[in-house]
Amino acid sequence: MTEIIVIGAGPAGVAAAVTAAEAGARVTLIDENSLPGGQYFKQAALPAPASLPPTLAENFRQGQALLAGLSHKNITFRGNTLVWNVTPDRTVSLYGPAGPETLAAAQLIIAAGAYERVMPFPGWTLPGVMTVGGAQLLLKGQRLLAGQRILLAGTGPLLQVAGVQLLEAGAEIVAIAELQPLGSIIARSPRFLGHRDKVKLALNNARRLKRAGVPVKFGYAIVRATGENEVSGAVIARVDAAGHPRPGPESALAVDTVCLNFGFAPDTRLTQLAGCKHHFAERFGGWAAITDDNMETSQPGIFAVGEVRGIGGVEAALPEGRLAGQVAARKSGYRTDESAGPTRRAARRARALVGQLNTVFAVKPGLMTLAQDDTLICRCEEISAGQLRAAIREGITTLNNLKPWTRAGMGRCQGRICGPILAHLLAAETGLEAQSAGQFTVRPPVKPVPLSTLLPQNNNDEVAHDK
Amino acid sequence: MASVALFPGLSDELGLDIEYTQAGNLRLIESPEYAQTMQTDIGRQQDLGLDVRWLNADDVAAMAPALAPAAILGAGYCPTDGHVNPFRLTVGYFQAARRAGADSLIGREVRAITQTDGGGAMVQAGPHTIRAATVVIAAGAGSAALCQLMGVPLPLTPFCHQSMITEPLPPLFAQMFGTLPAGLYFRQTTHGGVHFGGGDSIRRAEAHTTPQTLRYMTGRITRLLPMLRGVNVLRAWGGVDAHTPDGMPVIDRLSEAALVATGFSGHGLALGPIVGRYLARWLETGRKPALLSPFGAGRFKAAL
Amino acid sequence: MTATRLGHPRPEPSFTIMVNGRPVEAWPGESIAAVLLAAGRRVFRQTAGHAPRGFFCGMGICFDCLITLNGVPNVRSCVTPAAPDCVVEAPE
Repeated sequence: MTEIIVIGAGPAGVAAAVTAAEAGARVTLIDENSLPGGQYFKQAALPAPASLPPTLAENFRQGQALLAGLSHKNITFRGNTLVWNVTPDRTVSLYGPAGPETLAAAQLIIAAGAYERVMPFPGWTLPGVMTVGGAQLLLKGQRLLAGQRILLAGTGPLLQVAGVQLLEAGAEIVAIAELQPLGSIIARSPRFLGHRDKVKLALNNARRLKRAGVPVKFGYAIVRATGENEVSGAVIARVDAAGHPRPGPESALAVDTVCLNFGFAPDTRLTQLAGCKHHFAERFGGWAAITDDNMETSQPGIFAVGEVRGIGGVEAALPEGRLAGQVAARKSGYRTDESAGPTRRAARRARALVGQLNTVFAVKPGLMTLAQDDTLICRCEEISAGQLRAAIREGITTLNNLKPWTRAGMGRCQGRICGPILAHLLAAETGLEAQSAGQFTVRPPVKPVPLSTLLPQNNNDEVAHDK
Repeated sequence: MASVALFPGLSDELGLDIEYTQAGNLRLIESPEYAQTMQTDIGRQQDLGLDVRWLNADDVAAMAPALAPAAILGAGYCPTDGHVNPFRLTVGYFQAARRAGADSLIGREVRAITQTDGGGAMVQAGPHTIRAATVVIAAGAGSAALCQLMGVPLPLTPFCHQSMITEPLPPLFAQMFGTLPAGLYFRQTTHGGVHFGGGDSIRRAEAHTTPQTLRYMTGRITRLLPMLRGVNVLRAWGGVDAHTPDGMPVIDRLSEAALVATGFSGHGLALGPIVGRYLARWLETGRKPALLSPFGAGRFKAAL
Repeated sequence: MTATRLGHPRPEPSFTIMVNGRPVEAWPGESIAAVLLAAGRRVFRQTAGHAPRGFFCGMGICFDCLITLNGVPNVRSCVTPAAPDCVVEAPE
């Protein structure tokens, strides 16, 4: 049995692994990607070019500083390795370069991160329409600029952060369509208290975009993307306080790339499989794992840190990861130098601050009216809004019932993209709260794996199982 | 047999394609000791008038070239069997019921069933109270608890049954397959995925999977279909069946105002449509159809 | 639309992968998605409903960027490194 397994080598997982290792524990850190860093500190397998655009260089430098801790002798990093199942007894099923394998841990820290929330509109499946994170990953991990004339649309500070990164890399930012009206952001500015660095960065980004002549359109949404085989245009329109497009002129933009981000959703697939309790935390991106003050979930010996507890960004991920690393090491019998108290307070403070900020950039229900009846909602199974609305009219009120009814969420992505959208659609059609839609029950494997991964590994499985 | 006759017309009747494929059922034999058992079974079934026959290894290979020929000695074959998309079947019936005027409440837990003074039933479901002349309890493994609400114990045991589905593949075969001894069944869905299940049914009411059973099923199916080894599995899931001591359903009157149909012991999908039809006749005429008479709850008196 | 490699030309030697029988230039460390995008190819596959799809999430969760690689269908191009022996099939 391994002392501590950490799943996910993003900021939270790396912080947990390094802290536990420094306390003396032996840690196995597992990630599906070949290199640690997660999406935020995405590392490139390419040699760094002599000069990176400045904001990318800064992100790269910060990531390197954090990842340096992974050289500790107590840490084994296993990249390219998918954890496709977790059971409540802390057994993890792996699929990686060494083939299928199961490991058991005395303490298991789940830092599975988040994925982007996207809202549908006609044309959102066209090639060239991608997530903001996708375009950033091309920049960070592939040193590749996705397009030349780019529209960023959605809500949240990430739009402008990415706008500056893409601008520095040489793109023309045709516009940024931010869902929130400027007035409402200013009215909620007290919620920025305690975020001095973020505010400074945001103002700096706004100045850079302005200097470059980038129109930042507050209170706007993308209403459709056009093009034959790839995107060649986009239309944005003003929306009202509830997110409905206002009658009046639309702006048609000639673009070759559209980048979307409407915040993030916690990836709770592994904590769900582990049987941990979850709650609906609106300000933290929806369903999230519940933990105590020590980051331990309802399952003894299983910890959840970072985005899995709710969207908190790198600010919450780092102290939460350190705290879980400390507590897990102590439970494994290692004495840590520092007391957990200050880390616990730092984690709590960071989480509370980010929660405040998240409420400024909430998705609005009116956006669901953008999806026409022939607009796809489930991209994998190609299930349209019309098919889903018909099912909802039949009385369906939960994600788990929509799935067998329509096939939405049954495809390869297993509802990662459409799940949050379906919750909004159900809320819009029924008037119920998004949380009453529930979560999809998670089925292993969390991502498709070859059947050979599940082949019997020892003779115990060969005995007949007929009752 | 009445059930087999019903399925081919269901898509038309319900107005929804239930993806019924009637291409026969093969029970595959992988070891010589079971070949004899199967041939004896076939003889007995033929005496009952069933259209079943023995296929040797070459016949099986000709009928389903995707199977590994070396792994199979023969099969029992019933040409009239088929398979269906269980979701579509359920949705089809649900929509037909709604069109016929039925109201529905989904996602509400039934907390109380009582008999009213007038002889009817009253059902409490979440915040709703529904009154009717008769309540039919057909809640699968949940039926035992509902019958208990009415003070009637039933000897139902929940068994968790597990299955998996692969990503869509080009057409491989249209038949339904099982094995003797039992432990594996598989079919290719209209969508293209190979859906398979089996292994041990575990006595529990929770519907999650167990790694050991998934590995067992995978080991079995990749011996018969080696080409699946490199194919991605999309998901694995568990479902809970209600089993009775004799493996036959309980279809009976619980009280003046309540009927029950449960305990299908893993055969609910095949029997559901025909039993539903007879239940409807029972409700309509007030007389229990003779076909349902063997399924009384009274046969378990000793077990309780 | 052709995506742009930053810091190009890159100092280390390139190699080629085969895309629909034609050689396409790639650099060590690049994903297959990056190679296709840099070669001006945005349509990676056609869905069952005959719609074009390409790069979307970039982190291996959306399964939109699937390609056929060395005869194996449904490989996520965004998380699969390009290598000199890669043979990719994608719609023309």
